[in-house]
Amino acid sequence: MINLVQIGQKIAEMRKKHHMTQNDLADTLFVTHQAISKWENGKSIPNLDILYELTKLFNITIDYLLDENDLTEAPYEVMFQSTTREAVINHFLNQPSLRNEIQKIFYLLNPKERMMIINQVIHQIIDLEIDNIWPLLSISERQYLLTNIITGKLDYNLNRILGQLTIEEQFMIKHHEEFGSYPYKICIGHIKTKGGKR
Amino acid sequence: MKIAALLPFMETEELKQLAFDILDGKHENVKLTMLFPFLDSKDLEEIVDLLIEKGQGEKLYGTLPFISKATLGKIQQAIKDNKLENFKEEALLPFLDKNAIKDLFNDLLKKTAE
Repeated sequence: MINLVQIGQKIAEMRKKHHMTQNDLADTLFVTHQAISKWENGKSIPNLDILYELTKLFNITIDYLLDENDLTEAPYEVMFQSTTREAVINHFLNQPSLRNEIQKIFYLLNPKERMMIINQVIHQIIDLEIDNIWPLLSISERQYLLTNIITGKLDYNLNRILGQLTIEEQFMIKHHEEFGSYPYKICIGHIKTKGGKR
Repeated sequence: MKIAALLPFMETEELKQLAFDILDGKHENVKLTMLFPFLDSKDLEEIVDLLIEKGQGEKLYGTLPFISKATLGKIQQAIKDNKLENFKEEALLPFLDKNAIKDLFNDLLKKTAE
């Protein structure tokens, strides 16, 4: 994964070295000045034809533009600042083990991206367990996930995270256990069941 | 009810069927991109293969965050083979490492030299 911000900085540096404005460069490459601005700010990258034109125009190599720009080992904070969010998420999803990685990235995701990860866990698309993400979730995310579990969408024994559930969440599970929609026997000692049994 | 609201609750097979129905033009009011986060990786790969085969590059953008390096490689190869004329290759570049971009660049240089 490449660092678009650094590539943009190199393009800006070369443009200034050649005493060109963004408009001059845009006219030379037959693109808009907004495109130049996006490249220089690391919001996007020129296509290969334009990269080729840039190397000719500034008399540089592709190695000059791309080397020392690899983000693979960088922290996720740096990745999110240096390339597209989609590319960072793809990098995360392609990691060999997501169980440690999730803690490094989850708090940096926006609500839509967090929900996407939660749905991938529910659909068992990615190799993550509820145990791995439960401590990272907001109240509404916990409710959403819990609803999926107690209604049988996701087969998971909540005894594994019982100590991390609120009293309200425990009541909710107990209720579904009593009415048969949740198959596991929950070991909650201090919550009275409908019949008053412990 | 909007299908989008049902997506999290649908089974893997139902999602796959829905995706292929959308590709067949059966659900014009549902965007294929909405399904990508929910699709099994093998199903998503099948969809990428089909989109490449049909040359529907414009529908591939939404798959990029969710596909494997190998599937990214398939898209890269399809671009090299000029099978995806309506796909902007610069959208793929942030997902590639520098060596993959250099390979694409060198291919372009070879084509330019010919």
